[in-house]
Amino acid sequence: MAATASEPKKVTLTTSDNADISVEREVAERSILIKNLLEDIGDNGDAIPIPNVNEAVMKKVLEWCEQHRKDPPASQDDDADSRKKSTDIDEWDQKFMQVDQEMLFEIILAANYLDIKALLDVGCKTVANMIKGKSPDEIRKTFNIQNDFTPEEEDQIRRENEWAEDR
Amino acid sequence: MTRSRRIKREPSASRSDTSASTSPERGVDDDNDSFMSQGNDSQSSLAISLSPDADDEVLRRAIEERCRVSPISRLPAELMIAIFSKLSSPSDLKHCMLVSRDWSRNSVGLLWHRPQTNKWSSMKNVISTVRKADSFFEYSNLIKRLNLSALGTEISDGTLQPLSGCKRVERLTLTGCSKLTDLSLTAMLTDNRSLLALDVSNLDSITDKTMTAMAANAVRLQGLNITNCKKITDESLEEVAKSCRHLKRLKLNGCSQLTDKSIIAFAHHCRYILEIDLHDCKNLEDDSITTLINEGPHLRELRLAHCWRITDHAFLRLNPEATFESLRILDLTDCGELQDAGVQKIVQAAPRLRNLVLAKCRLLTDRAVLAITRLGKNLHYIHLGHCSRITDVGVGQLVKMCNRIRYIDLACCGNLTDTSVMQLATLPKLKRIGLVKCTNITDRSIQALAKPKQLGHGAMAPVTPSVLERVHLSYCTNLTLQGIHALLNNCPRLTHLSLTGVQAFLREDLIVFCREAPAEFNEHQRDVFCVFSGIGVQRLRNYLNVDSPSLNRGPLFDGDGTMFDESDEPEMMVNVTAQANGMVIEEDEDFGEGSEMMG
Amino acid sequence: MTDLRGGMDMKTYMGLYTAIHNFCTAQKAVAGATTFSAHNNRGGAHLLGEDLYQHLIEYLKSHLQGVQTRSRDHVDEALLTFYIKEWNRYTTAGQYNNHLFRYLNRHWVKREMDEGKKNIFDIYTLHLVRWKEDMFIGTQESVMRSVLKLVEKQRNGETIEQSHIKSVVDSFVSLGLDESDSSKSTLDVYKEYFEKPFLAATGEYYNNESKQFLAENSVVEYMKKAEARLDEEKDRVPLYLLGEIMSPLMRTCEQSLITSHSQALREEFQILLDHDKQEDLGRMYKLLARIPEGLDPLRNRFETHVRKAGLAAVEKVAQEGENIEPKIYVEALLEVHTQYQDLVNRAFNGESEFVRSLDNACREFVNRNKICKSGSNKSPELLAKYTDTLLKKSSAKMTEEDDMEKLLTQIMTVFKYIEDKDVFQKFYSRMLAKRLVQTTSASDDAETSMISKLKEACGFEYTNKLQRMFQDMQISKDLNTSYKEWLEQNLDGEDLKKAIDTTYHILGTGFWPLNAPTTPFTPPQLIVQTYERFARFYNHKHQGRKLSWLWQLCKGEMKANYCKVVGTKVSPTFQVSTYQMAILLLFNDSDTVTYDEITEGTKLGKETLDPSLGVFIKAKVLIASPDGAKPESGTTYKLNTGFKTKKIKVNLNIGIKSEQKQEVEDTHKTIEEDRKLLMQSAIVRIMKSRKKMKHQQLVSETINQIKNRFMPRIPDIKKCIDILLEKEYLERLEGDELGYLA
Repeated sequence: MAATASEPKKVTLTTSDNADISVEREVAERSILIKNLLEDIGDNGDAIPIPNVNEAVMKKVLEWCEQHRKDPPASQDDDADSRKKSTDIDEWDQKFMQVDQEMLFEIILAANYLDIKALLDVGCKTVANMIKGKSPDEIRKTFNIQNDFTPEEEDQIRRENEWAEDR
Repeated sequence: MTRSRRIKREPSASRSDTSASTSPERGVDDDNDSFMSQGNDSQSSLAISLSPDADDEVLRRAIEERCRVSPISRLPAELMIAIFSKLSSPSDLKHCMLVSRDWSRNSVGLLWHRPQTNKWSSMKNVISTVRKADSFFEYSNLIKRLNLSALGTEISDGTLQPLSGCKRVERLTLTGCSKLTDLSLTAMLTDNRSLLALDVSNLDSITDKTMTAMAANAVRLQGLNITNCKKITDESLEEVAKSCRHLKRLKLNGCSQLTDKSIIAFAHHCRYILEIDLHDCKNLEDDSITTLINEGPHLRELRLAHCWRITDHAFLRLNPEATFESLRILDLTDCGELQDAGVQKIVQAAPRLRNLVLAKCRLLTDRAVLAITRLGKNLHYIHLGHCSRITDVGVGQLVKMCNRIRYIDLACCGNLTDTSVMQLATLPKLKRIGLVKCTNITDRSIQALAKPKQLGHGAMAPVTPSVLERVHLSYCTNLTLQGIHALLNNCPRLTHLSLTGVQAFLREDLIVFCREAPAEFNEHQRDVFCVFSGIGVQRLRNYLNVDSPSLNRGPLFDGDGTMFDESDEPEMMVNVTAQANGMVIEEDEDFGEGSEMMG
Repeated sequence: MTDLRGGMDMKTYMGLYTAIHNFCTAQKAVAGATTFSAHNNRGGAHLLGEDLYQHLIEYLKSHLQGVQTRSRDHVDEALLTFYIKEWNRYTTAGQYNNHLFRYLNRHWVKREMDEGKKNIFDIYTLHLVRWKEDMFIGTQESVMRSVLKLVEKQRNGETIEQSHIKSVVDSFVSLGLDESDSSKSTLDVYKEYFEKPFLAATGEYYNNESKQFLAENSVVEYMKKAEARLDEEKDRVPLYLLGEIMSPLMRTCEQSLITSHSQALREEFQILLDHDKQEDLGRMYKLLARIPEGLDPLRNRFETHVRKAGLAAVEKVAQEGENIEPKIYVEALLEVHTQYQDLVNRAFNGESEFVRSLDNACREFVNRNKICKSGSNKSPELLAKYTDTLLKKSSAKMTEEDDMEKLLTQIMTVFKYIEDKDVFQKFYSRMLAKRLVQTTSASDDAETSMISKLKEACGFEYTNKLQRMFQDMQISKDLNTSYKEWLEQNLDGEDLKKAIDTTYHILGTGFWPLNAPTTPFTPPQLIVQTYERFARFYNHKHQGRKLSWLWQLCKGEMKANYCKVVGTKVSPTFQVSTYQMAILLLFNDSDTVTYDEITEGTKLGKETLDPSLGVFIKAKVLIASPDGAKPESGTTYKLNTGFKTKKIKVNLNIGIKSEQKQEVEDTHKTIEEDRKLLMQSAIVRIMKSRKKMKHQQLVSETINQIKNRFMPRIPDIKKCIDILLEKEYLERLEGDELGYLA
């Protein structure tokens, strides 16, 4: 990176555990939060505090941003596309998401907080894929969730939603 | 609702303390410039309202523990919903509902957004769940889309009535549920203020009552399809026009009682109309049409087939200075009073017309055609069938000026000769050509159509095979096997070829590849029927090439040319009669440029 | 608002954003911790954010209340300055807040809007909505009052601070929110609160000004003033108004400046026409063209004016009566046309409706004027004759090619207006035939050019015969060449020497408007030999064709060996018709021949013979005896051996007046017959394609089909229909319908 003739602009991010991470502005601006902040306030060289994300997660998120730095910006109408519900994930992202659940949900939360829509999408798709085709019990096991329904309630819901089958 | 006071801090809430403490740290609080700083104060006071108290401490620990055991619990509702929205299968969603209370609350809305109603058994289950007084969720409020058209005539008032509690339905599609009456529909529509689209086409027993009920409630309505609801009159539609001001798409075809009154009301009140179909509204006169176009700056599609009373004045009286750039599709099939002057004005007023249907406007002459040439590259689709006065001169000019034509129909234009067709054959994007009953044309025309196109000028210009897909040549009685054989071999994309009444093809060995005549045809019609489509075309081609030795010969031209790149513009084809055109009301995305190929 | 930028650091920004984020995501913890109560949660998922949203609304309300209170301290320009400053501050802050509240926008606001909740907006839009409710409604009236005052100042010629108005316009536009989609804006607010009062003030201003100006100045001066004002208003739009206002603003100005005074303007029109004031006429055209139906009365007046001018011009040249020189007549027509066409092009922008009025007027005075008293066919006749004089080899000046082209184009201008195009065709073809046969045509190029012009105007059918005539001439030329070759091969030297030098034209019977000779004639032996030889040659070449000789068109040259041209040793050559040649040849045998002998020798009818003799007497080639005797039995003719001439060639083949007149009458008669046939064939054609038709429809369709040839009279068409009924081409059906009988 240092070899490039005109040094790319860098910004410093300060994580919740007080680590300073230096990163190219273009990469950091995959986060709409950071992008808006730099546009609104201007880049005065100060470190940008990121009080909701720790160093480990931030590094992981920046790794993704680096990989996707050249992606075209998401258009306004992307919401309409997300309705297509596709759970396809490209290969690199699939590998990227092979982390423990702890980290997976930290990434999702960070993407949500930092406003990185594409990363949030990949995260959600990954979780959706973990749910697909599983019985309620299998799902609970996967995510370590406690069943807080009474048997009557569970039965009631089952009956009320009987129609919902695969076509 | 009970949400409010349970706003508590989550584990990370301490950070909002940080934010509260940092925010007012601005050196000088200049009061003249205090807007933002006051904003900050307001923020900090909000944050303070989240300040911890003793009880919360216990709670906080419990939550922390849960998040440690099950990391997914950290996700807020909006993220759980985002995850569930990626699931396309209803059974996956159902399973999510059964995981925990939390999960069920966040997935139930997605599952019930559009319940499955395509089978009678699911339908019954949905109805009984919605009717239950003490159901687990208030399902009726979650249903946003209801489409009962798959069950059609099985649906009665008794079926729909129980669903009338679903007051937040946004799209209600009841196409062909012809047993329904005002009774269930008024119940369904009353108090529903969310409705965006209603399709009740072919529900011929509904009356003004249904429309009045809709007008009183559906203030957000954008799409309305009341095709063939013949009992509906101006009276209720005027009310609809006055209250449903966001209407964008309207299909009123076959509502034979309508007059200018209601249409003018729509024009005045609904300024966002994009499409309106008035096919077969035979009472309409010029005034309504003039007003619709003058008042509707967004109008994109206007269908007036068989509105017999319309004359040139409908267009001549348009605002003389205005041009209607949005208008893309205009169907005037069988508006027999229309003359050249009307067409001239149309073209001048709507210079970006893409589809123009003037079939059976019998008074038109070459003057109209010359006017149409002014549309230039914008024109993609032109129907001039039965405009029997037009001649080679008009067609020649049309081809010269409008070289993006993809679809042209000149049926029964008896003056046309090979000269016209040879011109038409040079159109680089022509996909469909209709020449039924152009009795003058001969094999020369067909040879020309078969010839690959030369792109650009000069001998070195690339040659590309014809992109013709549909060719209609019925009753062109001069044609022989030879011409058609060449056509078959040089048009790789050909999928439809009609040759009804052409003697040369009414042969036992060829007719086997022809498709079945429609059931309603009489004896004579069956005798002359001769249409090849899809696989039939391919089989005819093979037969002529291989099986019929007397005709065996290679292709006339070498079809191995550069493929023509047509990605520069999307296709847009709409079928001739709106009757057969199954348009769905679809309103939250803007009019798609997507293709709709029909024949 | 740069101070805001300076006043906010990254920590504050991130702090605010994070606080809002954490507030909105906090619910998760709550819901999980409390006991789940089905009844409380039957609505499904719930997102947090409403409290925050409501708090923001309260804050904005109180802020704007303060602003509005302070605004009352200002008026006029100071008020505008204050309004704009506050607006800018507020919207900049709104943009910041929109980013700081982005998390709220992304989730809670979006979901509420998806659910169709009324009155929920994204944070920036919320700022605008609050401004509109809490600031705009209360102040817009006084703001607009200040704006209008400023504009009036400018109209009165003062300099103003235009950017103030522009900022106000922009802010009004921003406040127009689309109810159905808050991401779009509408111009509703702007139209209601800016455009409406602005237009009203404009209308009033110009109503007053124009009334006053017209009271003190002439109409011509007023038009200049109005034009200047309109330009001024047009230029105002891009300076500080919304482009969208152009059309209504112009309408308003036009209403006050033109429509209100259109009567006065129109009354001036005739005066300007009479004095040919092109510039003022142009100005009036431009003004009245701007208002709906503004020009219709002008067009009518213009048409009448041109018609009158045309009629007057014809009247002036008509003093010569029926024998008017074709050239003078056509030039009179052209002059009027040229003058007013020029006016249309310069003053009326060549506008098609005015062209149509001009055409209407010209058609009227070309076909119906003093010369055409007897009928509209006089004009085509004169036009054809004029064309003939142009295309004929004139002894006077040969017209330059360019000029010729120009003149022919002018002829076509008049031709366009001629209703009886068939009359022109008839005369033209006769005169063309003559030019060709008599080789008096000035130039082949000019002839072809004229024919192609006619073809362009009337189609192939109209000029078909003309073209065939041309072709015949070419073919004849080739034929004569090969005949000469044939002669050389087939005659011995002696015969060749004796043979008369001849040229033949073979003319197709159907194409030439020529009739067989009206008089019997025995050609002299010498000529008989010659033409029989040619006939042998021709029959050999084209078997089965019948040749008829048109003696009346033949001519020849004879050398008068008995006398000499004065002052030379050369004998003069007489140019004569074949008839005359037959007469003179009789004198080879005897110097004196009686009238009866001539009759006997030539077999010519009296009506041909007498004028031919007359020419000889007049030229003193023959001398009648007794002196001055009439051509009748008993008169004797003697060759004048003392004939004197200075010319080497003496033209004795002089056309005969009475013949020419006869020809004109004949031509008119054939026209009538041709017309009947034309109508009948048109009717049959129509019926053949339609099979059945109402009588009335058939009549109008027939008119439609042939009106570019001539204007048929309805009674004539009815007569033709009756003839066809009689001939059983047609039959009467029920009602008023006619049927076609194949």
